[in-house]
Amino acid sequence: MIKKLILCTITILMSSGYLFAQRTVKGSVSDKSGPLPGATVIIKGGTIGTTTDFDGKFSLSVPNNNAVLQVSYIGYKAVDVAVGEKTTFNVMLAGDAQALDEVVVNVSGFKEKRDNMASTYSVIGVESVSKAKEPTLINSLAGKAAGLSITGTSADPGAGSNIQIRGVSSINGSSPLIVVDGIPLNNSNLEGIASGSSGGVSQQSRLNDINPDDIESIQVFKGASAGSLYGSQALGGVIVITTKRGKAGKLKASLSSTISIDKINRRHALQTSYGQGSKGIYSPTSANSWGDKIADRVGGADIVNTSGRYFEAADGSLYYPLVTKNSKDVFRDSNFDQIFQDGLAQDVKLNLSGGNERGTFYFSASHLDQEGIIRQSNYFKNTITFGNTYKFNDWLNTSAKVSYINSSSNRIQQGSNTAGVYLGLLRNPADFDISDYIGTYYDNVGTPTPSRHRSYRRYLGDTENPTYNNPLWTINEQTSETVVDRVFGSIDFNVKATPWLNFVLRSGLDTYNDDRTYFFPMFSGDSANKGRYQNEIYKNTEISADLISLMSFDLTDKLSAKVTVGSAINDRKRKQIYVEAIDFLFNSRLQNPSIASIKDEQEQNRRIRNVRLYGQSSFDYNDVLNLNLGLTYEDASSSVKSIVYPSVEVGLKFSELLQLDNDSPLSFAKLRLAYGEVGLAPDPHGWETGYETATYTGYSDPISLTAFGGGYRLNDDQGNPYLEFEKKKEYEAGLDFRLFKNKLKLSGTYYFNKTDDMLLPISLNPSSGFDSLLGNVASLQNKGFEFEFDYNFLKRKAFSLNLYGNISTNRSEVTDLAGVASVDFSAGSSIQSAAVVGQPVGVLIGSAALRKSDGSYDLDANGFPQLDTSGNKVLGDPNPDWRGAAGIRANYKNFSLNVLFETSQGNDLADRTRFVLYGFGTHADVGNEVTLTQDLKNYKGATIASGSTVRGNIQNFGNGPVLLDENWYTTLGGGIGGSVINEFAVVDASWTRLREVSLSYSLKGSLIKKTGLESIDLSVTGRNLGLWTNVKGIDPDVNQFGTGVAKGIEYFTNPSSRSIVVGMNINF
Amino acid sequence: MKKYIKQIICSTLLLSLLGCDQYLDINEDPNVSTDVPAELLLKGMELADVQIQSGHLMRISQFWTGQMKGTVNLYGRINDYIISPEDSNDAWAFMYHGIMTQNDVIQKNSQDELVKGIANVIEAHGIGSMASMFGDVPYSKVGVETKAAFDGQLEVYKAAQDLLSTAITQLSSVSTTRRFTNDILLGGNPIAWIQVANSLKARYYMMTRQYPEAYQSALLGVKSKANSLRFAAGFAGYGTTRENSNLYNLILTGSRSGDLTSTGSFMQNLLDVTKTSSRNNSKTTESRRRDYLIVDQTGINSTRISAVNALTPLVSYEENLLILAEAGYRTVGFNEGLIRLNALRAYLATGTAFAGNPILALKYDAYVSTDFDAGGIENKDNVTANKALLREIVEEKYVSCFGTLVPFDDSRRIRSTDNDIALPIPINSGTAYPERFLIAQDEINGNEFAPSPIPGLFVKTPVNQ
Repeated sequence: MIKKLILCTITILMSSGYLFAQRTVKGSVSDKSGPLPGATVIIKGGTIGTTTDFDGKFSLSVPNNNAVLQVSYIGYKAVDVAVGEKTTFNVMLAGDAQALDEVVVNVSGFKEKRDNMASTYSVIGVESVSKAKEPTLINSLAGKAAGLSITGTSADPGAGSNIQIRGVSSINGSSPLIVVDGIPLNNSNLEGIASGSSGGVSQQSRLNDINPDDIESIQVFKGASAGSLYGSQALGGVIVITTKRGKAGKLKASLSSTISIDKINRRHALQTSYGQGSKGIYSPTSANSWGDKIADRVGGADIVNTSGRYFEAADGSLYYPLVTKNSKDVFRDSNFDQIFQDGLAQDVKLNLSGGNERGTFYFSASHLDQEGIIRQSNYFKNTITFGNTYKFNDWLNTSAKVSYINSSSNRIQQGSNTAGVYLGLLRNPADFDISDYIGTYYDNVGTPTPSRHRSYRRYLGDTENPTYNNPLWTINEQTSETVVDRVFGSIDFNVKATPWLNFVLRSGLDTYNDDRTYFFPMFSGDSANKGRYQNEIYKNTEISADLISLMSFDLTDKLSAKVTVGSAINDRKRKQIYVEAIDFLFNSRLQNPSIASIKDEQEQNRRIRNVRLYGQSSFDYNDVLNLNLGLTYEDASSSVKSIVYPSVEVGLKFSELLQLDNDSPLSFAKLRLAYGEVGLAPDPHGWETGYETATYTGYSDPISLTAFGGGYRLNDDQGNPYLEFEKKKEYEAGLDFRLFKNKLKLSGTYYFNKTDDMLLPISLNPSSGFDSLLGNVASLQNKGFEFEFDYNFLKRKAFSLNLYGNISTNRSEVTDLAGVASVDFSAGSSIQSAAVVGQPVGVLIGSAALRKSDGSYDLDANGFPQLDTSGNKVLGDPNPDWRGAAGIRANYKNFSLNVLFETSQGNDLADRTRFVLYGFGTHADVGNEVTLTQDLKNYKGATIASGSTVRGNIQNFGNGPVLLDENWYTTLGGGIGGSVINEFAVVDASWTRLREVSLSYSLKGSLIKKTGLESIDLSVTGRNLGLWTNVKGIDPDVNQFGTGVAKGIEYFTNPSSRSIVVGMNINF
Repeated sequence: MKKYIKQIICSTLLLSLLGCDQYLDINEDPNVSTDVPAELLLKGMELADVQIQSGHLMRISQFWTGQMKGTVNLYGRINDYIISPEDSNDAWAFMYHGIMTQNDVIQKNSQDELVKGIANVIEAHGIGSMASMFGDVPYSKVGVETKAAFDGQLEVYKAAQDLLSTAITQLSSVSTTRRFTNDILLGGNPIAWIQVANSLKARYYMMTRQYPEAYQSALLGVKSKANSLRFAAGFAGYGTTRENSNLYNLILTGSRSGDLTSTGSFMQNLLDVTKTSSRNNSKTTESRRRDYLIVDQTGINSTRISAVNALTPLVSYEENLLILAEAGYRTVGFNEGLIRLNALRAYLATGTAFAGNPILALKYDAYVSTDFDAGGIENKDNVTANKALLREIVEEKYVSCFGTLVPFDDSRRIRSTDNDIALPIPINSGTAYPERFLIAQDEINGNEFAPSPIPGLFVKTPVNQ
């Protein structure tokens, strides 16, 4: 009933706009990109005036023909127009060079005067996005706005990235809403059944489907007050993307092409001194490299037994059972080079636009062809966009746009996955050559098994299980392809009912099909010894429609108001079809389930709808005080209750009150205060506890109901019929200044937000009878400070120099988890990224060293730390203390240079690859040889005499030096699982990087014009060229757990890259 | 036209909004059934129970009782008693969700006494093992309160006995010819399940030192190999795929294949004719059984316990015979113990109790009482005949119950009651034997009733104190 009441109220409110009207002279105000709404038109010397409507149109009573109209708009040079006899005026305003960015769009996509906006947002210029020359759009946003953090997952071609605004606002999805031309765009990054978050392949972020060339501007709205209009979709902030439209005038065309060369930017250091084996003895099947000293071998060919079984590699090389290892050859670098290469990306884009007074068109096409730094990894993307605008008559116009995207990519298996590339490569002993990874195995009686997998633990390929993949097998024999087809379109009808009332009917469709095929031929690792084919298809369709009425009136000559009332529906559905076929009937490379004896099919459907009604009113008093009030009502199919979100924003341009003269250093000052609420709808279908099939496994021993003819169990994740919206409240206060004739711009914002009723599948104590219960139980808060600056400190005729940048801090704290000690976001990892009350979101927890009450190690009798068996401890915080970016933008004549540094300080990383490799004995840190100067104990308590030269490291944990050798690194000081001291895997991963350097030259002028061209832009860009961090072996800007909430964990994660990009852009 | 458009827009808006309750009514889960017949939950309970009895923790118990060795990685460390509470998480989830939650549904919704009876035996099997491994555990409040209080270990054994009695009543109420094919362990044979229930009662009475009750229950216990509870008698029925394989086979062929082995274990040596410490004697040749019990990644073959389709014991005929032997000896006397032991040996001598390489010898001649006299073949160190007999019964059970938690149960019990004849199982690290497993990390995290600090690995459970 209450729902209906609110509906009626809002509907009445909408209808109330039909009450006034009047006119005499009329006209329109525009800039080079189109109509300017909100421009001021006054009779010079008087008090009569008006502002332009949404189409930039105005009408005004003029007293006589001598009157002069003064047309102004912040950010533009004011223009005076004599009225004379004319009744219609078309005024064109030119931008004021000192304040170019001043027209922005608001969160619903309508143009606004920047200085009238009271919420916190950052504008990311399209220039800075296109100059970044990143093959993926999201990465090009890195470092561009305070409070916006972009975290990579790996440098795999097309890999997704995490976007986060002001920290994690909810455990359930705090990635921001992406709005393109007023229509929400799906930016999912789905893991799937076949490729889990802890191990599998890097998945893509769907925002990267957009052709960056189509983008006109990007604005990042950070606070809840700006997002409240979008209700439950805007919990993590809103990124508003405006795309290019055709413009009236001559046909414009541009053709651009870039070529990028990528290199791995950090390599794990591996030792080459010791061979495969354990306890100092060589063994060709050992998992570890704690074998003999390679230099001490006799050298020459290995002694082998040629009497029985053997392996014949594809190139004819023969491998026999080893009797004595003699060879001193090491293969660390050649192994590496067989896996990695210089990546190459080529990108071609074409843009055409034009039109006349009635209609315009825009067309773009792009093609990206990328080969990754890991051989066989690739990404191909084609996009086509067509857009037009058409004006039917003076009250109805329309604009439509449609994009088609097709991409395909082969990704390389990584992470916690024995069929992953880094796991197999980095655990591989220095003395094992990976080259001959495939061939025929002949057993003792000569039975051949073709296409056998030869790995370092199965150097004869004598079993169907290679244990760990040979990395060459991973890249050459396994494939993980994804093919995406996507259509994204929108259409707007703009009905101009009266000069002060517009209706916009807007609808959008976003649909994609993501078809992923994972193929593991027979003899692959990761339990695919008998072959595994998986096909996973996501069909995702989202429809949204908005009906918006926009009203604008002058209440008095100083007070004007704009009212937006709208309603929106949104329908998102996704179907996931999964086919798994295992146990191949023969050793086939056909990627089709027909080759397998056991097939499993699953289907998951997901659908959520919501309805919103919203009203926003903004009042402007004399261009000094702005007050924006908003109220949004929302209901979603997955929530039992509806919700109302209020928002209030106040902006006071107090510089206007200070009567500043032209010599004042202060040009502009504004105080912003805002309060807003947003939410998050529960995931759909969470009300019931259904039945499911199950696999029971303790440790590498899965038995499943499916394999026993099928069966069910009551789901261990309990549903909850009382689920409702999560609610986030945010307060913010900010100050904007412009100094020295707008040369220095400063903007600072403090915010505090709190998310309550957060939905959490709480890990229950097992004795509750369930594993988890979904409920509105948890709370967290974030507070932080953001600061942006841009200083044009040098400006000469042909030369200008800008220093710009941003700094942000965010402190999150989990305040309530309904009594549960921790919630794990990183299933399957021994070091968890978790929620713990009193700690930041995503804090790293795991096994720690036993400590005394004073915090020092509680050492064992030999002076070594002991494992604290009392459970997980907090080991580190993956969230930075602060992030920042600083850059220089220089323009000299037709040259421009941009240098951008980015930094993240105080973030910890669970550097598990390094730590695990200690246990395996392959890491360079454990390849050292030390000569003892005193008797030392090792972990087993043996005394190693002074003067001995042994493999290991000397360390003092507090009770005198001890020898860290194999005994230590394979028990507590390295390796996998929860029974090692994982605390020692966590390191400070602060980093500073040279994110971007770009130099471009624009060739224009008469010479070029003669050739029929407008201009030619040439550019060279370096991405990620410098990296300063204490983390060894990998760029800390990776994440084992992809784009999820878990972060700060690295476990055989594919590495990052640095690139040089050369580009050319021809404009016709 | 213009004004019509306004009206159209307004009415469309109004209509669409009024219909929004219907529009939003789409949250029913399209992916899962909510009306599954309760009987279909039994199989999942069985798999959960198999993992408790034969999975990760059982293998660890084998490292700690000299039956196997953990060599590298996690198992290498656990072998030396470095273990964390997270290693118990799965077992706890299997017990409380995998078994008890499902059984609650079965007892509530099913009309089938056969399925209800079997489900209750499985629950009792699980919770008894939990009490044995962890001491005090939640039980009586499970399913009643989310944060369940911990019951004393003895109370849990008592509750398990009561539940087994209930199960026997339920199973006795159905026709002996009824079968339930979705039971992958015993094909839903009520007679077999009644015997298994009685053997379990006997097992728990042994743990609580109620030897007369143990003897009485064992008399009604498992009477044949076919009626033994084993994983998974239903292999053949479902074909062989990886995920219905023998658990030893799974781990030996997976990514942890080299992390554990029986090679060089105390038990392998005990069975090894070439070793002076071996239990072979003029009436006993263990060569074939030794071969059968080899568990190693390089030694998987069709006649060993790690074969892909080898059945592994949960509650076996052998165990029941040896409970009769020990409880018989303790309550009736030496002769009863000897007769029962010889019954087991006669069974072993048939060669049907286990596989193993058929070329290798086996011999299990009947013992006579003089064999246990001072200087006899089973009493070289001149203890009393009674002690010598008990020692042989215990040692035989240690071998016969390979692959179950029973050796861990018995070794702790015998150290507490008859330490003088306890098997000389080596201590892998330090000076003490592990006496329990650690309470699951998930339970510590989520239940304020969990003891703080949790009892350490070397603290005896109440029954053994």
